[in-house]
Amino acid sequence: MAAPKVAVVGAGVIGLSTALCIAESCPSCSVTVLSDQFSPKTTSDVAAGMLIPHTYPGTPIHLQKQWFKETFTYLFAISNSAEASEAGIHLVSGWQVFKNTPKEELPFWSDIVLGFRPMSKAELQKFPQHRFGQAFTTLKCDCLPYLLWLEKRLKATGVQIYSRKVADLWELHSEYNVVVNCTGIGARQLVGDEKLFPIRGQVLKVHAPWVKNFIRDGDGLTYIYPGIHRVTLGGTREKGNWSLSPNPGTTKDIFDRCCSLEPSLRGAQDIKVKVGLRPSRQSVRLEREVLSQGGVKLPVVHNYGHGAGGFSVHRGTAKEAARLVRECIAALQGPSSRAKL
Amino acid sequence: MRVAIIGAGVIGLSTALCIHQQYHGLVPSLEMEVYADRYTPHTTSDGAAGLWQPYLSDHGNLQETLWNKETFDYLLGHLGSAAAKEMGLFLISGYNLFTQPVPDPSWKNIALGFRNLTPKELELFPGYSYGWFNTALMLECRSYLPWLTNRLTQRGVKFFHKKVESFQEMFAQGADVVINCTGVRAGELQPDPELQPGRGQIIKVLAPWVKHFIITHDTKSGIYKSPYIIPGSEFTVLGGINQHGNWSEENSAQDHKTIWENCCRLLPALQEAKIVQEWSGLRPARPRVRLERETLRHGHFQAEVIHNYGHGGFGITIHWGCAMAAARLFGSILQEKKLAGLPQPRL
Repeated sequence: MAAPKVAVVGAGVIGLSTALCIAESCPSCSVTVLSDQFSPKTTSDVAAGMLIPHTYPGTPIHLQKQWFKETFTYLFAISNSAEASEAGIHLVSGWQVFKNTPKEELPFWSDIVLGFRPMSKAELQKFPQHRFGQAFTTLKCDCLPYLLWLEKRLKATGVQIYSRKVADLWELHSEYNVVVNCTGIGARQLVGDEKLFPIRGQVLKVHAPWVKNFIRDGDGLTYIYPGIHRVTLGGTREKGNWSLSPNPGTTKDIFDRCCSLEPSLRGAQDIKVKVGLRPSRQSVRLEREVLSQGGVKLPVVHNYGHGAGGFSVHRGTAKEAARLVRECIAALQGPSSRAKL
Repeated sequence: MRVAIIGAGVIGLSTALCIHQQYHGLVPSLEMEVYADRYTPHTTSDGAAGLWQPYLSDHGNLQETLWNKETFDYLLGHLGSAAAKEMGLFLISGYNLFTQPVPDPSWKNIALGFRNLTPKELELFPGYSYGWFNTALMLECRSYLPWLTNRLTQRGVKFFHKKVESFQEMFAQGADVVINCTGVRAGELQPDPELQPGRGQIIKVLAPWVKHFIITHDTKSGIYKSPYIIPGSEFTVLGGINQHGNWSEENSAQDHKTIWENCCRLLPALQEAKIVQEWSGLRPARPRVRLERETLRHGHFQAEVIHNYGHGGFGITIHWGCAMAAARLFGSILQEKKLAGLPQPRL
């Protein structure tokens, strides 16, 4: 097959990073990104982009750790380079605080982030309602610059990006050899995956440039993540809620919870409210599938269902998806397959 | 009781506030006036980035270490208050980098979360093989000095824009106590060969992705002669110049080049940062802070001066501890006036 044609559906952080990994690892491939939403309107744009992993109950821990490590290493190198500000990647230090001591004292990612250690008594005094805490330094991926940077790199490698609503993966079978499904929450309808469900998150993005450290409550519900221009205040985890409309009562509740962790936020300006639907699943769906109709086959690689942890594992899962794409292409080129080109 | 404070940098204004807070209730009519030829944003304090961090070694000045601690604890206590933002006060974490192992500093237990850097963290800083991480405080004087001014104005303290030529000038006007917070130019009021300028130059840039301070050290050349990057609430300060004995307040192209190249080598992404301002200032350097009383006699005048100057590059770091020490000296002056039974109709 001269130039295998690969379509990546979805242009959030998963779609764009997967397309880039495919283009990087398969130079002969012709890669096209198709999506009906682009930054700043993707789910990724609502996320703060903090590299603090979410734990998937259905995925082996060693795999999650590998994905996180690959992502962290990749972004660490960018943060250390001249491209850091363009790509929107920066180091940020802070604290995860717990009202009750957590069951597991050391999360699986504690040796991947930098300088992980328990908080001192003096540090905990800043959080009178919390009894235990962890201090560490991690990376933050500001979505808007990062997705733009990914797009720029994609275009530089010849990847085409088109605005197109794909109603059914099969509709791509005549134009492409392999389809990669990075549609996030859209996969529910697109491929009928009932195991995929939204966990609605409402956040506030505010102007508070004196906030230089992150603070996160270990319960995952209240967090303060300083980005390049705005601080993300969160949040909510509403399972099964599909509403994309901001809820004013929730806004006040988030603001109050964050102010109790960081009182200076009372002076925050220009509060913008955003809502995103985390594409949640017991495990990330990262696997091959072959669709077939009337003797015609279409290999598909699924890479969706990253829930609350998309940014944390995006590069790791993108590399695995690219590997699966190469497997699909090899299978198509094998002696027993029929070349479509 | 009339008190004249000379100098309106961080030292002058905080000393004024500390004394007024402690004594205005105890002294029936405490009249306080501030005299300065430079006010914010034109003071030396305004040019400082505002990071609380003492020098690496206290050279046995345990008193200064205590004043640093008092300042840190005082500021930490204000962090959660509604005033913090207006004061320009916030927490910040960051790195101190060295080319070889060094002893822990006197302030390791004052700052929060002090620890050594891990090998992975040191990968971020090629050329540096050892370092510290800690959380400290920023106190931006372009906010803090106006805040202090507001607190003082509310208390009825008066401000005068004037270059004071001598202590006598103040006493002739009726001041009972003069507080000398004149910083690097204290020598103009009373010669002090130990006081020298430590000229600094900084470049202010827009680099909002930088969330940590990074201070490098070259133990051979001395403090602040090695590049540093300190992110503020709006701008990031790049520096690394400390020229002992240089009185020039003009920006030097050579120093600009040194700062820019060194800081960009430290953080390559700074090359994309937009330069907003350049500034030079004179740190009031002295082997130790001059914080003491002096009784001046001039004709039949006997008047008290409290000196509070010579805070080098750690004025913000030490200011409140010094202000409280100056207030204690003021208290002892009040005690003596009562005990000596000198005609003090207003006491």
